Amino acid sequence: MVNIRTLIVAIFVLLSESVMATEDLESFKTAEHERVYRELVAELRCPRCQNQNIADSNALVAKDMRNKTRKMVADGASKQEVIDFMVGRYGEFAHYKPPVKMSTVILWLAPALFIIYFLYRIRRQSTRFTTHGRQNKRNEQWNEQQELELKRRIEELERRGDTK
Amino acid sequence: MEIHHYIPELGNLALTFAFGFALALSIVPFWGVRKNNHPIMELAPNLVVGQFIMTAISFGCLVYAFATDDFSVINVAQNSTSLLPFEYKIAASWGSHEGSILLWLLMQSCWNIGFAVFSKQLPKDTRTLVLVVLGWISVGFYAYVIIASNPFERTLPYFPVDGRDLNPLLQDPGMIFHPPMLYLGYVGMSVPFSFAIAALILGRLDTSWAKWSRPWTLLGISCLTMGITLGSWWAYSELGWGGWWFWDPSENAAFMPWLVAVALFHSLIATEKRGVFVSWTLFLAIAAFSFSLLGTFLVRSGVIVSVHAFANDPERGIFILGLLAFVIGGSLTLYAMRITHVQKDRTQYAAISRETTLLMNNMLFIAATIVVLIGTLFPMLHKQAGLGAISVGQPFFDQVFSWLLIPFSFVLGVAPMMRWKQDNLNRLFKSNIYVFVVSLILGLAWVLGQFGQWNFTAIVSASLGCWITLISLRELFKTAQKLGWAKIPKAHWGMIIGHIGFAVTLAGGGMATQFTDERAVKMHIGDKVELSGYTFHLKDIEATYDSNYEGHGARIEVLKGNQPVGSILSEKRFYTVQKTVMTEAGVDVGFTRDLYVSLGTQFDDGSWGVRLYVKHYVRWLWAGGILIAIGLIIAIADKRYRRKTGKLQERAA
Repeated sequence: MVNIRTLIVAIFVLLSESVMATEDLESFKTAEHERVYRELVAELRCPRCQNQNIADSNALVAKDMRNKTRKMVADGASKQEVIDFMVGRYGEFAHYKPPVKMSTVILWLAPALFIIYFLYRIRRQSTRFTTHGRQNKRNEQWNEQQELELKRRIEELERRGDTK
Repeated sequence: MEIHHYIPELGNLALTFAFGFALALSIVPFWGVRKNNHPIMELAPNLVVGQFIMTAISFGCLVYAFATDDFSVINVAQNSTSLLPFEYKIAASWGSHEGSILLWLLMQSCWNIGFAVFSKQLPKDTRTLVLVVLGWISVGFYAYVIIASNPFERTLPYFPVDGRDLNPLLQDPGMIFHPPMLYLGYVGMSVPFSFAIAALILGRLDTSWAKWSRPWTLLGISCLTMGITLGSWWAYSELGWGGWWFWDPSENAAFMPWLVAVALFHSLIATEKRGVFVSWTLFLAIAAFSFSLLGTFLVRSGVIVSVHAFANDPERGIFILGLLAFVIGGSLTLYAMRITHVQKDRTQYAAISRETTLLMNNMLFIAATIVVLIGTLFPMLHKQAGLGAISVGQPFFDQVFSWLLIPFSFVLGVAPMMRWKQDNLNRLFKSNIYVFVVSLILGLAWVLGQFGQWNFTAIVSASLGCWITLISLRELFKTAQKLGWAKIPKAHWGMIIGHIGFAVTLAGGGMATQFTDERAVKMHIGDKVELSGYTFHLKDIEATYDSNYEGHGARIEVLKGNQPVGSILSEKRFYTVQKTVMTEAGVDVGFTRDLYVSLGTQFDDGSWGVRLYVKHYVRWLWAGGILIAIGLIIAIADKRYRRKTGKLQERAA
């Protein structure tokens, strides 16, 4: 019995050994660290490549930046802290999202202004519809009164005619 | 010298003749229209046929030069090699800048001849004038090819023994289908553009041009959608890390005309059916083609850095810029001069109406275009203004697009059931609140059930995907009840399929961006690695080769539990002519997930760096794109267009 049990344990250990033998090239303490790291390497730009983030680039500088990012994340740095560090070292070029400031605000402002203007146009058009509709109703009321008035006058005229 | 040595000269000659035909097309029938001279107007379709035949011969000669390894042609010597597999020799014809512009011209003449053949029912002056405007556009591009970018230039007398090979990045099945499809889409926008210009010139600014140009617009967008979808799929399989959209300037260049074109054909619906937004629709027709040209300029001129700018040249950039300025400036001037003749929209509509939802569609699509345009050009301007280099990329676009996509998808859901002129908010609320709640529950159950994670982006995109799909299906069943399944108009089918296609892309995109499991490991042969329930077993490293590369591939068996799921070959290739290393990722395709393996370098101890991915729902992105393209094609087959044209013929007779 004991032999069989040790055998099973031995097999189990061997099997798990073969799984354990592979070494992770990027290891993370927590899932949160991994998530932050993946977001960062996708958002940081390789400063020496055509147009690639550091996750996809094989350039030496991209590799250094990946390692630095991993180290900083493992040491508990927040996403923004890593971005600030990289921007401090490589300039604003290194992050795919520019900071919001006077010279860049148009990126967000232009579409927003367009939408506001367009909504204003739609609103004006539809108010024209409703006021137009109300006017029509008023016209109809007016016509009814007019018609009554008309009938009364015709009747009056007819009566006069009768008396003549 | 034997006769086949003169093939490139023949190509050049045919190109010159094609230019002649285009020049004649742009002048003679125009004069015919001015003088109302019918026999001269009749010339236009014949000139188009001549232009098409000559362009096809010219393109055929270029393909022949590539297929027969004629390295006395500079273009062939620089973009092909005798070792290149045959299908890529053919595809290399459009692998260079010169060749791709000739492809553009071939596509342009395809559209021209297609229009000439299928437009016989239109009034003669409109038909002729549309062909003339297409001729004007063609002339610009022929002049460009002949003067600045001739694909037949020779290396003579000292021609190389062998060529420098096609960029290995382009040696992929995607290269065979993506560029022709994309160009067909780009150039397709020239037809609604020409309709708009013809309408402006003739002063016939009623709604008839909207009706006539709609099927052509649909066909163009369908091609553009397929082209973009193919490009995204290609990037995914070729770049080696499984990205499918990077907001690269070249992608943006194709995305902008698509956005404007989709806005255009939604606006065309309102113009055709209700006679509203006439001037706005005209503007969009001009804008869609202008963005096609702008895209070409951006990618080809080298003003922006891009992986696609493989053959950029500032001089050519200036030529295209001139063409761009002429087309856009000219058409907008004409627009400004004539637009006062358009009757103001007298048809009234309320704030809650189909018209308004279509305007919302237009608003969000154009806002998206503005975001992409500014995002693409702004870094360059920022740097030129001395404010320093900045990058605008994925996190910026993701953020702004999510703001636009949520209201857009919400409105898209209700739009098909809205009534023209005026609808009742109460009615809409009552009939949709249940669908909305069900969609939310479905989205939540889907994401939480499968991934067990509270992921806001994924839940929102899944819910909105369900929302659009459910309302579309309900709309379909309602129509079937009213008319019977056989009598549902093709245009209605097209809309339902297209909208569901968008929903599929939306849900897939949301999931794919949020749920990708990834692991980078060092593996020996025989090693097993676990990733989100799958076991990747490195069986062997095989030698792989073809005529122009040699490499090795990792053979990986994938198991789920004990059940084998698939076998993946992930390669690393060394292209011997260009001396570059390429990663050819291995993918096991699945309905709800892709298993994606990318092979890295070998370590000193003989082990290999391997990057493993499980990408959830990534196929849905392209499935949605294909559905949209199919929906658009089905809508073209609608009886309405044929019946209308029949009536026109009667009237003409």
